[in-house]
Amino acid sequence: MRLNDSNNSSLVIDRLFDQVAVDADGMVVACVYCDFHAENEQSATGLLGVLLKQVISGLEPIPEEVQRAFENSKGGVGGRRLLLSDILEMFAKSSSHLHRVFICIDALDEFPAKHRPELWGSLQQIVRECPNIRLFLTGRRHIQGEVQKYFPGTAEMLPVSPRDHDIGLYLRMRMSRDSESHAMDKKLEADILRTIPEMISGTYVFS
Amino acid sequence: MREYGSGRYAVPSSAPPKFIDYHTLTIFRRTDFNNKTHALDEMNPTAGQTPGISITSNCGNVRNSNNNVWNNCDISITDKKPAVLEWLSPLDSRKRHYAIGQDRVLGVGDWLLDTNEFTEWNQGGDGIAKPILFGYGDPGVGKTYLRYGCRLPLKSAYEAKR
Repeated sequence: MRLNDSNNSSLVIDRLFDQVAVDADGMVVACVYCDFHAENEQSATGLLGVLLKQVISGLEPIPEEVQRAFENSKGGVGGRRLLLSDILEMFAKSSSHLHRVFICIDALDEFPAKHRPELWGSLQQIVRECPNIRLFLTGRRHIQGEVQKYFPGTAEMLPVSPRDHDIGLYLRMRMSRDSESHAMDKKLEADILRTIPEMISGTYVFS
Repeated sequence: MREYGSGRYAVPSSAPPKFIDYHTLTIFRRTDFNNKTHALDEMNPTAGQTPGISITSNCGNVRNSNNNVWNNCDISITDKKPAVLEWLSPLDSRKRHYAIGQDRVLGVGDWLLDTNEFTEWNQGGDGIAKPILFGYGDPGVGKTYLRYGCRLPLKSAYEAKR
């Protein structure tokens, strides 16, 4: 097992769609994981559609504006495709029914670069129109410049690297799953827990 | 749509059967996105598991074999939510969500929840200066898992604050 990007991707391809937690006071968490290999959420419309779906699935009843848009869309032959502007409008209206909306978008570097400006623009609009929104974004270092460009002064930058504590937890978990446990003794275990964290500089590579 | 159960209640028989003297309430158990059916008390609305309700009122013109008078008007309350959600996005990754949940190592990334940056982002009020938190790092440092790990503590932190 390699706990790296490709592993993350294969494990969590579009994993958090529809992931919602709501409390009685109206808090929603909506998440999406960007993945090179997935197709549907590789546009701003697709990605925000997935997030909006999660926000709305936490609302009871569905906001009137959304119901109306749904009814109207059925008018045309085969229904009209949802436009980005429709989604953004419904996003703002749905969010206004909630106390707090947490949006998490993971691995933005895997979202196609050519569509990112449209996504950034949409997120800017959401943040502008919804004061109760919080965005948690992750990505590789090179995305940092884009975040600073589109959200000057409004985005907190948090460097993420594995702490020794994290590495220790991970190693212990792997050792506990070792099928040849008889080969392990206290000394070997201690050596592993000491040596591997020393070897790691910023990246998990456990084969 | 499958019928789950139904009940009937009546006004006392001494009451003149002028208007409504029976309601038949039928609760339908419906399939969710995965075409599974669920008992009413096991339904999870966020997964599209919601009952439908049909109310038939005895108040009108047509007599059935028991000499009850029924109108021809069924009031059906059906839930459009699953259709609306499907319209917004066809994607549903419930199974993959479970996969990553099983792979995540408990405790890894907890340090992030203790940072001032996270606390401010999580608990600050409307219109805070920095509503965006960007976690960046090299490939494979575990950003995905950290973010996943944030999900539940977000809620508990919020509740603790209240």
